Amino acid sequence: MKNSFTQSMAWLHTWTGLFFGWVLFVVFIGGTLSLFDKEITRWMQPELAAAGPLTDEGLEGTIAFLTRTAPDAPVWQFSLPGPRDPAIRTTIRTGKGRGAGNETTTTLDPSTGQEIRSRETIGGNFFFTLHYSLYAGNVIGIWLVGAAGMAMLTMLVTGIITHRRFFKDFFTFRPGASAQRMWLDAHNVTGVLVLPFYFMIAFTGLAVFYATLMPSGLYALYAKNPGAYFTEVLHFNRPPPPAKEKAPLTSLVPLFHQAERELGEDGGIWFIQIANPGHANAQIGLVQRDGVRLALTRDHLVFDGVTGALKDRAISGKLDVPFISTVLSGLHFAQFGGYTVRWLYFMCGLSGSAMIATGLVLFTVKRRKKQGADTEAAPFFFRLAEAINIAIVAGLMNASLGYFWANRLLPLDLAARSGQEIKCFFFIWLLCLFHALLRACIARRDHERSRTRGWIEQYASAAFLALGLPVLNALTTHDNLAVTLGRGDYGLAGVDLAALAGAAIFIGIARHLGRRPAVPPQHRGKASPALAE
Amino acid sequence: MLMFLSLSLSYAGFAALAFSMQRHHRQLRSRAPTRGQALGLKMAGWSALAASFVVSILAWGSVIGPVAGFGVLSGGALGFTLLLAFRPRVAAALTLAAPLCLALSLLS
Repeated sequence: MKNSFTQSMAWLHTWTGLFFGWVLFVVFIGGTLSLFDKEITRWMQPELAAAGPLTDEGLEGTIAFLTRTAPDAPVWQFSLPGPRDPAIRTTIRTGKGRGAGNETTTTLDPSTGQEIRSRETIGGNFFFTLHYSLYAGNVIGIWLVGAAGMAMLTMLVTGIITHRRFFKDFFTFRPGASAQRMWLDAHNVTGVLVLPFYFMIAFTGLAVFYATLMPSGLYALYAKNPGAYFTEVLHFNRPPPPAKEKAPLTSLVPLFHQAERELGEDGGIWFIQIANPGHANAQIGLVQRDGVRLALTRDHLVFDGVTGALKDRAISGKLDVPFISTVLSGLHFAQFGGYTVRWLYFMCGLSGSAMIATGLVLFTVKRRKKQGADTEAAPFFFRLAEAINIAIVAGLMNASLGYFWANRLLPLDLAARSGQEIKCFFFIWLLCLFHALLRACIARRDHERSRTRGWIEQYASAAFLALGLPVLNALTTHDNLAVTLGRGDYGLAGVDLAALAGAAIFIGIARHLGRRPAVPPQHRGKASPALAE
Repeated sequence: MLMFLSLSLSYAGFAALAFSMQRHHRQLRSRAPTRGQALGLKMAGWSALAASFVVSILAWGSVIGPVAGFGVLSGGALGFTLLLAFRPRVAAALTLAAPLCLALSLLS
């Protein structure tokens, strides 16, 4: 360890930063894109443009559809259309577990309840799962992201301690300075100016998973049946096993209108769950839409599915511990305050991603400077770190854009199509890692030069993918950017516009890296007359 | 409108604080600020930031307001700092958005 307090804090900041920075960058990009998950899903299912507004007929049609297609399912679930999602989406669990392989989802037209055949995709939910579990499973993934969240809190504190001129350099960003200076400035500025957000998002992110990450208290009190905690304290609706006797389901429409009256002033009903349909103990739960208040309360009413009598109402409001937990998750999920808050979170998320990326770059830039720029063989580890940095930062941009491309290019009737889209994402990411490793391997004599080349090439290809996305969209659907902007559909236009903005940023970074004198000046002098001819 | 007022106040507040510092004052003019100027800019800056936070609470209410208010403060600071690095004069001129937004929100 190092002798002084500041030095040991800097040591901690550097090394946790390197390892958890890789995880955190993916978590931040995934989370930032998840803010517009429903817009991304809508972009990825252009067939849903045909959906009409919600009607009573649509509700009855939905029940008819479910009765026809899944008469024996223990639970029917469907979400209702809202400002950001035009369709009714039904989910039927077909396997024992949760997740894409165990559920079938269908999109229905809210005005008729008829199926709209849309391409099979999980759309923006992909980035959400990437955000909280990195697709590493609900145990390893959540624990890894949880550890990264804890590391982030550590790094925020150690970063503040290490930062010697917190207030003096508050506004200092010198893009023209030396590489190390510039990246350090960028790291400091993106870190300091958005600091309250980082503390909030890391802490609330950990708090959301309290039952997974800190389960001891829960197990001490509910040792025999941990599941009981969720029903007792959080009012999670755990339906009983289906009764033997059969009974017809009551009409959903009057219950829906009653629930709309009771919960409707705050945005209406978002989600309906029908347990044991067709059995004597059927029950119907109607959940309120998120988005009006800060707390993520998910207030709901539960009706008897046969008689239609009100059985339970879970309306929050008391300032107790479970309510505080809903405030913390509300802060994290950013469903309150509409698009303004969404954009504020988006900006803070991008700034956080930039802070992590510049931190990762600094690790290698600093070390290279210590060892001299042109060492013939930089230690193996630093070159490996550099290659992983490229693959994580620039590679993730390529892979994410590749996911959008796959959505448009894969055949519509492909089996397990949504899974194939995800495979495309990881395949492109892996390609980027190979490319970065290859660049690190062939970089021997002229290390500095091929180092930036790896970055430049991946940013160039990301810029190409981003620039091409609106074109691809125009070629493969009936919509294009001009049309969506013309009818004021900013949700769809936003995806294309964000791709263009991303392209501008990638080109800017690639050009900036290319401009640095990669070749010593004397070689340059020789090269330029040849170019002039 | 209140949202824009809050954002422009945050921007102007951070701009005033930055230009009260010698380093950033020199990006704008050839000389350092006098003591009085620096003090004035500091006071103006802090009051604008406080005003921005109050306006956020007026715009979003007492529950969501403070959350959005912090976001708006970060947004103003980030926007100003980026602009200052590349176009310091434009960055300074944009502070005029604050009185403009104030006038517009008083009129409406």
